[in-house]
Amino acid sequence: MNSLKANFLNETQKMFLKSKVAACFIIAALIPIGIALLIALLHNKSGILAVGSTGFPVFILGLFTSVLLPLFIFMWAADIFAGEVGEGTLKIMLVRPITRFNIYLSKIMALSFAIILLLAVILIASLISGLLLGGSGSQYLAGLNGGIKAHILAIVPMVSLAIAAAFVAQFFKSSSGALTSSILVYIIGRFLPIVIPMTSKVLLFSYTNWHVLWLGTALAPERLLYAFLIMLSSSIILFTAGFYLFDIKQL
Amino acid sequence: MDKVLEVKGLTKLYKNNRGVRDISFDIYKGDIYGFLGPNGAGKTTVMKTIVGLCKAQQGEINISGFNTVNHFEKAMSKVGCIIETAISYEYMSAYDNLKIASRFYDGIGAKRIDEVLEMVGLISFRKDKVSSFSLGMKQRLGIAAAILSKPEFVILDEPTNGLDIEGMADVRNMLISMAKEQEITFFVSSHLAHEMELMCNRVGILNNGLLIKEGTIIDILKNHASLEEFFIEQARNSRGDLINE
Repeated sequence: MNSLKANFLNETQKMFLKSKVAACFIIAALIPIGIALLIALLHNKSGILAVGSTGFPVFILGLFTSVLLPLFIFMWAADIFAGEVGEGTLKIMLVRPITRFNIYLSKIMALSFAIILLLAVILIASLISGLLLGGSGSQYLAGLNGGIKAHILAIVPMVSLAIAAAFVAQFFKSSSGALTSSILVYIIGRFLPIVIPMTSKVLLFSYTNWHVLWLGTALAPERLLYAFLIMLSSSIILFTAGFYLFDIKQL
Repeated sequence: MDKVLEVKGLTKLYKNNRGVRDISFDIYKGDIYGFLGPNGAGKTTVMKTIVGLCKAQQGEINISGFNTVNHFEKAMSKVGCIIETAISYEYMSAYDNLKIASRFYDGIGAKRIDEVLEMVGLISFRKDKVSSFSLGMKQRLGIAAAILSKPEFVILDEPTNGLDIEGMADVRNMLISMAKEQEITFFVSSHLAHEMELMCNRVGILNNGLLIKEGTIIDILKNHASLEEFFIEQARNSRGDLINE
């Protein structure tokens, strides 16, 4: 088998055999249901409908892309890079007939695949739980349409975050160190624009909710292209730098 | 005879200036070649550099004619190894650990996985998680992973380390029979001279990062009562050389 494909399957199998990763998927499925129940309950008691079934999937996605998804991604990336260095299990792959580049790339591919699956789980859970919020069939269909689009778009910033987390993980020999640092970098990245507003334009972390840019009635193509290019260029730079550090690692 | 491993002028020094200097040796098809030396002599460093875990400052390494820097995948395609300790994914079963390794090779499927588990005596534990294994079982699983792909060349760093007397004898007999029946060439390291004497046909003596002597066990035993005696003599001579220099 092609070594890249072989290790993509390996990394995916390894990730999904970990209870931590399974827990992330369960949390991702339960949160939309819990929030929908809460909204329905509030609606029954006070008559105020905070979010209708149309906007529900996008509303839920917004909650995930700012905090929970980055946290899950940092955790996974910390585990498959720094965690494996700490446990010594990285050696298992390094002595097989596969280049370090293919190992690095296949790990990023497995992370991306897990992100796509997780987004699918969130979408399905929020669509199902959206039924609790009532509304007409056409409202629900509009929610379905916007929801699918938003979730597909969210893949881009989340994969970029995974690449950034993989880069940070190269500096550590334990998953806890890598995870803490990724979270710290993310928090700084999110709050820096408050102090220096200019940075919001160039920092990858400012675009985690970029799906919102696409959903307004008036699309601004140049803003979308700009956001996409920032994520793409950051990803290329961080992937290359991360791979360089991975390649020179001596174990 | 066919050269399976060719090491030329290998130098690998760590920041503290320890490591190995100017190591050159060849291993031929059918050999069970042993690296004998005290702890810290550089045995693991040489092995790590051969399989790409470390990068050499100088020198060249070819496995089956393929340079390990320029043609890593080809060079490693016929190599199995355990470096330092046999490491497995603890949260996976013995079978899944081997399944992961099998994906890198064509034609290695469930049948071969069961075959190697049978060979190392772990077939009845195939579905058990490695975290529940004893040290000896982990070592045997490591050997299973190393021979899974039917490699022509197997590198084992201290394969009997941490094993009890029976475990050591088991591993030794397993290697000797695999070398004979499956024509696998072995490169093993140990700090136990007696172990090497029973297992190997050729040995290299490593001390303080230098390969001080090489020879066949038959030749060595012609003039010495044991490999241990030969080793001590060589180690003393090399210390003498250093003092004289």
